[in-house]
Amino acid sequence: MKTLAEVFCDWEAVIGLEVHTELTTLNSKVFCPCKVEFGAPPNSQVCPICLGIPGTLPVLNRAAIESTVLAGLATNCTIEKQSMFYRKHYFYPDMTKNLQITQGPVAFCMRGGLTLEVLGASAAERTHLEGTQPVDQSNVNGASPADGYVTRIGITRIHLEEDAGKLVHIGGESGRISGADYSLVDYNRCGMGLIELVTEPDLRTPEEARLFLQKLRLIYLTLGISDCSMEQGSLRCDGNISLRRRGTSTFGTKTELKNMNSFKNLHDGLAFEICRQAELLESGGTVVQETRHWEPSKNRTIGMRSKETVADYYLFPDPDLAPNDLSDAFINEMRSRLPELPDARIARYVTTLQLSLADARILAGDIELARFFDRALEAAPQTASTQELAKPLANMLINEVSAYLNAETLSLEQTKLKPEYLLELTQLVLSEEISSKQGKEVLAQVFIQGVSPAELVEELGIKQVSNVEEIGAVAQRILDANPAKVAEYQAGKTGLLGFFVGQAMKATDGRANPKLINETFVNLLSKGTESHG
Amino acid sequence: MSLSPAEYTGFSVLDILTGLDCRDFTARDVAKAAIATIESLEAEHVGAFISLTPEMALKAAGNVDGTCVSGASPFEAGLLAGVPIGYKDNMNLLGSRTTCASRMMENYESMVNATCVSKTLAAGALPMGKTNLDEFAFGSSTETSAFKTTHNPWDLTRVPGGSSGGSAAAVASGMLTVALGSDTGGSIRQPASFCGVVGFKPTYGVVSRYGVVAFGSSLDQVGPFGRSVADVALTTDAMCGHDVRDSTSQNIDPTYYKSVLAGQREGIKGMRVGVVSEYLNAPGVTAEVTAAFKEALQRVEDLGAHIVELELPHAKAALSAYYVIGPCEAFSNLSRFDSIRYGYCVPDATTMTEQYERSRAEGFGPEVIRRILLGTYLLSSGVYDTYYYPAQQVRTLITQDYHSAFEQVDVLLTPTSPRTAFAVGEVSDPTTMYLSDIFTIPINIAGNGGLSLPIGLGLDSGMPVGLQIIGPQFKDSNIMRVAAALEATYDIPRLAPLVQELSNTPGGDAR
Amino acid sequence: MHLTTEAVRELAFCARIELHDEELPALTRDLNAIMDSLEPITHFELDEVEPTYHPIAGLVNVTREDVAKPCLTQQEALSNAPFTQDGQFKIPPILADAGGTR
Repeated sequence: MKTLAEVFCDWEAVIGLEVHTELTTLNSKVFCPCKVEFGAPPNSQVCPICLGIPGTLPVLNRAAIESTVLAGLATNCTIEKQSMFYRKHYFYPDMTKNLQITQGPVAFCMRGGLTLEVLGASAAERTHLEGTQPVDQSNVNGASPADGYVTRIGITRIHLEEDAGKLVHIGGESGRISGADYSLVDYNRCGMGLIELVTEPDLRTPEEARLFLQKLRLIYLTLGISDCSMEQGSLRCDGNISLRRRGTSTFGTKTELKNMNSFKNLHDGLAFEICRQAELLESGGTVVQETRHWEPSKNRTIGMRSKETVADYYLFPDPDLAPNDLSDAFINEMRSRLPELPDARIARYVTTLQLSLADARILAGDIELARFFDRALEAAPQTASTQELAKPLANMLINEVSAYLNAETLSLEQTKLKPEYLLELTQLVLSEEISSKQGKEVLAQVFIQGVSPAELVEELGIKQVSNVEEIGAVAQRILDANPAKVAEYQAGKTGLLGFFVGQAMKATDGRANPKLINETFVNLLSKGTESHG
Repeated sequence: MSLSPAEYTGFSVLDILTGLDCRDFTARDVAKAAIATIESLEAEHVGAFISLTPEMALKAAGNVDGTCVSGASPFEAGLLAGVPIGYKDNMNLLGSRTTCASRMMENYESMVNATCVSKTLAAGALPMGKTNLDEFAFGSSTETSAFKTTHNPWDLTRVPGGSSGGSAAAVASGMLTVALGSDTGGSIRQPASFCGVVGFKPTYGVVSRYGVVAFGSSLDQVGPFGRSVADVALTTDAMCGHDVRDSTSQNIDPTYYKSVLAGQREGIKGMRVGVVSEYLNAPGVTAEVTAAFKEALQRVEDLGAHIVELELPHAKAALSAYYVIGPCEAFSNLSRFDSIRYGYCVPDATTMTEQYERSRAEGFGPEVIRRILLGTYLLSSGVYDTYYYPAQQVRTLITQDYHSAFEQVDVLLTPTSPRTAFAVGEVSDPTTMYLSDIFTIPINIAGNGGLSLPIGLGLDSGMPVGLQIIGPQFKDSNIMRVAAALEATYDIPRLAPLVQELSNTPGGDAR
Repeated sequence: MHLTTEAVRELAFCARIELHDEELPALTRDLNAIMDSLEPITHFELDEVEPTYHPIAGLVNVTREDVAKPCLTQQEALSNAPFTQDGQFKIPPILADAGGTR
């Protein structure tokens, strides 16, 4: 098979995504009052309604509309005031009613889009830049044209619907549906609020798809509408892929790719499917419109049985639910509830706080780090210059804190570090009360003990000695004790400075401010030359 | 103290409440009399019940008596204190099976209480059992029940009508004082007419549909049967109103009985009563029904009301719209019966598809299968625009028809059904069967309320004839008022003669 | 519009109802008789008419607060199920490529 780069010489990939996101932050399901927690025993979070017990009726959870509208506003969609829920019918054992309540032709959110900045290595995957913009002409602060390109990805719609249950296939090959002896069904997830976002076929590379999903995830996390865990299935993404010859504009036959349950799998699955389709087309074959399954361990996509694909959904408006008619007041209230979105946050970090674009993207790209960073800055006294604090704070988070979290595989929440502690620590280092090396040691303690760094420094007695008189006295003692070395130095053997500094550090248990002790020795020794000369 | 079946079968709701209040008898006496009546009539003759719940009834009676013993009035135990009630077996009642008269649900143990059930129980009613129906309420004779044939107490060779035939027959035979039914195209009013009792379908949204197994979700409405307009009104008062579990249920004041009193005391002088004379020329309207209907109109006029001739130009299309919308919603609502979480399941299928197909084929009867397939077809892409969409447009026209009609009149009158009860097995062709509902169906399409009032026996068949009284949406008070006033002009038995015969010849077979 | 027996067979598959060949002709006849009775619906002048999906005019925005209520227990949830295992509903294989049965 050809590589992606080789395929892209002759072919253009046309990719659209369908992103399903569970509204995990709601207290209850979308059409019934069951609570929702990941990992509960099977069929213990169900009620007669989500279990599809005959005679029960759905009643819409107001907060689910709010989450959906927030998602739409954050992705520049038009909010449709009037819409209806429809029943979409198909028989599958993960559905308790064998119909899914979903939105009809008009969804709460229609016709939106996101701008994607594709920078660095990600940009290299796209060989043809038609339809993109250079970064410096867009609003990417601090980027240069060489950094990459910008492209807009249209969003067709975001609609609200109910999730299905989970099947476990027993027997056969490691949980696969194919070859199973029987299956078991758990309906805990059934009826959870689910929003489905459908993009226009505007994506051209697997890398763009990956970046789009990352950006979308960050927006949803910022909105607080879902925990967006691809691992636990609360964020799921399917891709529609077709190829066309460079220079042509008609769409080829597409396949739908499923089971891309990580960002890497999304990228690799799409890349594989693009190469598979290219090989098929180049050898004179045709692409069959079908659903395919990405198998990362075997590096292949396989077609699913045609019996599973359904032609007709027998859609009609659900008579058990009232039509939706959103008011201007409601939409305005939702708009006022929008938090600062990731792009705005990056812009603020770069323009107001003077962080580098790279640092701003790293910080803003991790919702937990970004929130922590913002809270730490907020904790700073009014008199402090936020710009001065921002850079070292960001460094501390990006380097020391991230390294610790990675090493311990912890999230910030799981440690005892608080934003105000990190601020205090940064200020201690900034004012040279402790060295940056000591800063790291203190941080390690704060993570575990959850105490104020200033108190910890006090308690451990590791406060850096930066008092000029104290340092002067120590230096003088060392010079007095080593007259021979002083004489050698003054005769021109200036390399001995290191010896004196070393002695001073030893005498202060390493607490002497290195910069200050250096300067002090140079001063004292030069004075000595004068007096002897 | 005890109560004989003969006394019990003559009781109205108010008779029971008054008797309890005067300490003439206890609720347990009522329950025991009801059980005894059911024992003498049910198995050998009527066949109105799919299951009986005597223990639950006695327990409920005990609770009512407990309230009364403490010196309180039975009214404190609720509007239906000590009143034997039956529930159509598509209504979930905890502690009972809800079979929908289908093999599919033969062993299904209810997992909820329907709101109409819990509200009537909270009002002190005594749950005697679950009544027979056409399978999943698809039918007009109760003959499609998978379990038994229910016989019309007025003539055991005839059908009770349907689909709520068990509830109608149980009230007509005196086994129950009141019973609940559901009405999608006439399933309360038509059997009430066939069995000579009062049957009322309130305006869509008056009674919560929660817990009632759905047939046509935009058409279904729960309502009561009784032997008097007052009993039906009191039962409606006990169960109407908003329910958070049904988005379509509305805030309704329980003033139905108040409207009955208004009709009884103040009459209907000056009210405007609409009639569509074209209706009497509809296919299958028998001479005896026409005669009884005309007599009723005369009585209405005699009471001082004005008769207004009206046209409902789209009423004919209502039948077509109904037979499109009904099957579409039914197909959808019955998709959940898939043999996984409940319901009939073949034990030996080798794939899920086989289990679906065989369980549903063996669990559903022929009429259910017909309607599911019809709904599947009507909703398929390409066909949807030819039938389903126009049917909902027709619904707009029919609703407008009624709207303009009710600008001119306070109620509309029609016969409830073109004919009286037919013989068991007489009508087998589905399209002919559908004709028995031509006057009731349009009301479900428009959502209005309608009540069937007995207006005597047909001159030819000797079977009860019913008058349908239709009101404007959410103005069921008009219906109650006219029904109560007109009822007072008739002196006709509400209890089928069967009961008398049986009490004269104990153990005798009336068939 | 009239249905062929083949069309009815396909509908039966879509509705997951097993039909035997000998049942098809009578069922097709019944369905077509009903289809005939639906004809009037196709004869109305409906161009400007909005559909009414719901009998209650003006019914909009019926929602509930996002408050959780107690669920069924696992035992209750499974109580009507024909086949269960390990707290779950047990079903035959979805695909026909294994010989497995219960």
